[in-house]
Amino acid sequence: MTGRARTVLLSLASITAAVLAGAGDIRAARPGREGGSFGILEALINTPGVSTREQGVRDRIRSLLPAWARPAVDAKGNLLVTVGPERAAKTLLFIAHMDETGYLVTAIREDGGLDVKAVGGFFETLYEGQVVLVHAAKGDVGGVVPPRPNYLDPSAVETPAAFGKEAVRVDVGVSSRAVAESLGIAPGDPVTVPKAFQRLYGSFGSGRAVDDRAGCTALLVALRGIDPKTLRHKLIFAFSVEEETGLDGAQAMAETLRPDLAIAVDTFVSSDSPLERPAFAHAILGKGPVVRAIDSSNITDPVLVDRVLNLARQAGIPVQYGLTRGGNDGSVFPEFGTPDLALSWPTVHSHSPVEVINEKDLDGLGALVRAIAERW
Amino acid sequence: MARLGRPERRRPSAFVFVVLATSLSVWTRSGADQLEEARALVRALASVGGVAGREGPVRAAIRRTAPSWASFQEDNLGNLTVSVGSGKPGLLLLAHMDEPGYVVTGVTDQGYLKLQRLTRLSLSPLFDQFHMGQPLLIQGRRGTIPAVSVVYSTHLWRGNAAPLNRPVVDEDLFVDIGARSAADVEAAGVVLLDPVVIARRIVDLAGGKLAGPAMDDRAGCAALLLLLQELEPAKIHGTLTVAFSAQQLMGGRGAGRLANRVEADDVLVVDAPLPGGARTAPGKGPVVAVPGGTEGFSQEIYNRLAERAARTRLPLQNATYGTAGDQSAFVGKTRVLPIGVPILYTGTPAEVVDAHDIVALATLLKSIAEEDR
Repeated sequence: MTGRARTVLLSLASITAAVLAGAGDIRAARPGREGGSFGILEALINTPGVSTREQGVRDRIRSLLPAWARPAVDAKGNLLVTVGPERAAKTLLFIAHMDETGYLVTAIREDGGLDVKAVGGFFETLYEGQVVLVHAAKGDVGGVVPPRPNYLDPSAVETPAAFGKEAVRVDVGVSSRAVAESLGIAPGDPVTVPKAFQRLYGSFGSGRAVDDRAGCTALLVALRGIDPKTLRHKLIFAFSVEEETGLDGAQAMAETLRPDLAIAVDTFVSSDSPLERPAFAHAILGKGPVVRAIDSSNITDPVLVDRVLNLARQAGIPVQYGLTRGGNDGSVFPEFGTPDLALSWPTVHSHSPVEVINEKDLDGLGALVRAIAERW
Repeated sequence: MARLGRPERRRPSAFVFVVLATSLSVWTRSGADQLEEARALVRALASVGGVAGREGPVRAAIRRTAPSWASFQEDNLGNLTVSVGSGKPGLLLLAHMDEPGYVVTGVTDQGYLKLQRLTRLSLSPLFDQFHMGQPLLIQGRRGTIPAVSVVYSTHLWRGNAAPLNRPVVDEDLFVDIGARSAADVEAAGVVLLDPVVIARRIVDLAGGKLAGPAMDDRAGCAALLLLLQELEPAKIHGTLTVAFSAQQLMGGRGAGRLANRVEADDVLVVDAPLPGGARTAPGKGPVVAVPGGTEGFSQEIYNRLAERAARTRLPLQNATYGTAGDQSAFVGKTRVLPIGVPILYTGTPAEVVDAHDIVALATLLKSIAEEDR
């Protein structure tokens, strides 16, 4: 498994390079900022990690940990870094998930076409008629998600959202199952769009799986900033699996760990977009990290929310708070007696190939995680 | 891109394989090198945007990848031509540089760009949907500026497909370059009417196939560049003109200019066939229009092509071409025949071509250019 993951990583790196090189004369919308968090985010986003296939991301995170960190992997596949006094009065758990939405190959047809199933929730039309990569054992294989058969006919727009489910397959350019298998393709292989983080103008950037590689980045930024010798609390930084498929990685941790506080670090899906209704979830990109006080899975104790807001203000970190939709890994802990809260950055176009994030928010989120770790 | 409307009528759907004697070795390079070169050329050409009337990046890519001896002429519409030999007969080979895309038509107070599609007639009614929620590129005057097309967030509409359960049109698109004011947009170097295309995500499929945007007709351009690289000028009979045309999507405007400035007895329009017509498949050989219908395509050129294909052991597939492409500039004036490589998923950002077909097409065109007519 490890060897295979390495192969996938290497081949992805070459394809990513090709994709970027192919961009021709794209000028940097903004030079990378020294010490900015986008450098880490880019490395994580460019690594595929569809739910249950997070190995590459886990390896990449491991490579980005500070030298003192001693990571462990639990039976479920969650990566945990524990630091601080063993007999501390409190244990704080920070969780960001490694997995992303995408497809998994379910079968190879006789004609070489790949049957796939969606993993996590997303508008499947975003993949219709687009290129993808099948991350196979012998390396990545390019493919196409064929458009609906009548895509050239006026009737195609009569039911535009009809594309999806069993209609989705992947064409890798072969005409038989045997040839597909000779390329190393097998049921279970993950399928993603070509992963390439793109910096935009100002402090913005975009890519597939900002959710939740930005959360992973914030944890890494905090880990790289703290001094283990000065900590008062025992801290567990967890990089979880299978959040998108039902918070399964976090569930496994909740059943074995008993922290005093569980803090999920994940997307605040924002309505700061010309296509969304601003009635709720209106955290503004670029105005700082967000305390995700209420979402579809969780209502955080207002006392905890206020405490985070005060701590952020004391630390000079601009912060927002609000309500959005979606679930988070922290929400599985209260039933085991652990209070939880969720920290976020605002993002738009969630679960699309072009999730947008502002680097200032991510810098602030990393600083906020660190402030909580050091001062809670 | 031979398109603009549905095929007028159906052509024979069977593949026509013409495989006879003699050798394929009209090349100086090995087959593997040719394939690699064809893939590199397609990648280089499809990696840049070329909205109709704004083909500059494609022109630049062609100049970069053409052999050093090629001295291009550029006319007032932006067509590129290079000629070899002299006198009659005149043979014109042309492939179009442009692709469907958008131009910036407005900037909101919040710094989002609004777009209009060029041209208005779309190959697929889903063309605008294919661009929603995808990475885009603005071809600014000071360079290419990355952007994304705004899309609904899954979480905010979960359980409610309403936002996408209706046709998406270009006026629905908002483009985010990271600006949050009109002043930001100006500072980023984006101005009204800058062209906009989908980001150039090109992937290698199995067996020499590639997928990405604008393979129609960068694959045709690649075949012509491959031909130029392998040409032996001393073998050319008469005058060979290789042209890269502009504004095919505007009804063959660039080709119209070429028709008036290039003297040619025979014209081969290198373009993708109409999708939905005769069934053709990448990897099965070049495609060619079948004469004999009302389109006015040349039986004589077809016969010569079939004969040369047979002699060089190249398969040919019969395909459906309309009259609305670059060929419209030549029909009724001179002998003209569309030819090209088969393309799968035409009109999507994931058009599939096979490098083998590009090499085979270049081989066939070289053979035609060198024949004694």
